[in-house]
Amino acid sequence: MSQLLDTIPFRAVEGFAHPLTRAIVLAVGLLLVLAPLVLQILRRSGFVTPEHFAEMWLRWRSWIWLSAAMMLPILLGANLVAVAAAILGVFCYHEFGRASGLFRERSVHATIIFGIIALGAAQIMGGESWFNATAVICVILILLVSIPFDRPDGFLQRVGLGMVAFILFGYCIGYLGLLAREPEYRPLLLLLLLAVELNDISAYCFGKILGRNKLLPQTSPGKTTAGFLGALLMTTGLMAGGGAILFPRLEFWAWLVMGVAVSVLGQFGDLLVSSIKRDLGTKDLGVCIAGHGGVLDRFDSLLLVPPVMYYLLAFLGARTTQSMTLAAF
Amino acid sequence: MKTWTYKPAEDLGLSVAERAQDPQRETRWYESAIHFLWWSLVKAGLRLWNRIEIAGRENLPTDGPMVLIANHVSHIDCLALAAAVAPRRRTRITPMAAADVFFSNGFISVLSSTVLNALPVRRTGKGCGLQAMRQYRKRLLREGEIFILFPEGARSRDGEMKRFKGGIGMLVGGTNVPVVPCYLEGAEDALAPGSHFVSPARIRVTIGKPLSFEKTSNDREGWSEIAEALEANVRALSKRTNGITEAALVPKPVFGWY
Repeated sequence: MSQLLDTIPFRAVEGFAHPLTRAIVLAVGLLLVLAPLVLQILRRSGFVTPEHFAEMWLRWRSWIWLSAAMMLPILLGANLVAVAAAILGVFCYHEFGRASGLFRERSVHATIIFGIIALGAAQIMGGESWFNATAVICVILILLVSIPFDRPDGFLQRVGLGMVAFILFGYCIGYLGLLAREPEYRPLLLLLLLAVELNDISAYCFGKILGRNKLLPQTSPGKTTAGFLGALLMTTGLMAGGGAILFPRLEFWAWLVMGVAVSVLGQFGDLLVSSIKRDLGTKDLGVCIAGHGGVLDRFDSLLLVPPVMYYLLAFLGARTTQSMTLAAF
Repeated sequence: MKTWTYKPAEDLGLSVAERAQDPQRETRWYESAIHFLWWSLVKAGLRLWNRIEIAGRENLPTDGPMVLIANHVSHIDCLALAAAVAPRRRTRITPMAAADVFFSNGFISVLSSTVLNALPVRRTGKGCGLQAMRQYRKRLLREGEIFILFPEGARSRDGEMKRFKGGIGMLVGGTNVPVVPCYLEGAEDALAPGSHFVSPARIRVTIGKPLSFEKTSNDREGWSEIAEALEANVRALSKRTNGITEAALVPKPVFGWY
């Protein structure tokens, strides 16, 4: 417990030390304050129907507490990011488990939940090496845990679903905690979260305004090529701007690579969960976030970004805790 | 290669309050832990405070679904019956509770479902009757739970056992689910109707032999037969508990199982 609390700064202002942190928190706050005004203007001028307005109003209300829930652990301390990532992973897995029916396989179900929590604890106690060791052990446990019950029927299905669940909601989301071990983790994580969410919004807006060709109609009928490309443009621009402040010694092309990576991974994360939903035959995986669906419906774009960014930043020489260069290969 | 089949949770897509009242809701992993803890605390509390005595525990089936029924005089009746269930089956206890009391609003519904694992039984209006009982029957056969039910339909205010209603027949008629008749003594002294404090009165639970109604027709006639047979068994248990021997009882036809 003391190790956890040690990470909370005695002076709250420490969380706002970096100018990019202050800028992002201010920008998000301004957006949340201005959004209802903009929505009212759109409603009164007839640009949106009453039903559409009601839906957007619900989404805005959910964004108030969602923004706080996402930013507070980052501002308060690095270990709390690991804890928050584990909680997010458990919530996401819970929805996946109920939608796929995996929750009925109690041994695999319990092992996955244990594994997600263990990954969070491992990061706090021992960093990257403990994290990866714990992940390997949990993978082996998921493979073996149901064997003693002598039910080979359905073995591949429960183990296969368990692997997908653990990799996505434990291992991938867990990398948020590893990214928090960087000295400048606050602006980095806030920038990533902002970029992922704005990526979603840009894809939606560009798709609505310019979209004609469907991207993958069987998987996600609402997505268009214009939306994909528009989001790519906006996210790359945002990451380039943020990267210039965060990593001033990096070349321009490195910021572009980061931007492209976040945009593509964010959209593929969305498509990944859409594929899962289509296969399961369900529209939403949950209902707990008003206007957004479930936790996994809201955070699907975030799934693939943390692990790739962790190693991409190391490859580009942007991480101070570890650097991987071409010379190392 | 076998095709994978997915079976989402029966309550997928329902809000928290809707799920609490849904007869087909499926227990979540943390709810199982809460149920086990709750029923363990109830057993410990009744043992310490009310010196609960349980006779005939060997009559309880060790596996599979079952329905525990008893006379009903107090809100503590359900807790007393649940105390008789073996520890390894505590997560399967599913009381059927009056919706107007235990599911009167969203918050109480969530509390009743999360802590007690209770299912709402509507005594009047929309959602009561055969259609509702069909839902519970489906759940009983699917989940293999231990239902706790009081066929009188409401607590007795004068201590006298009332006639059993046919709802229990709708639940088990034509199935091989064992129904275990029980008799509760002392519950009205422990927690009288209207009282909010559990007094340290001794509670006794007498468990009878389980009955099966597999060969009983699942219609009005069958439901009445089931209700009458179970009422007779509970009255027989009450007389036995009160010291009158079986030889003094008027023999009644019993649809015995084992």
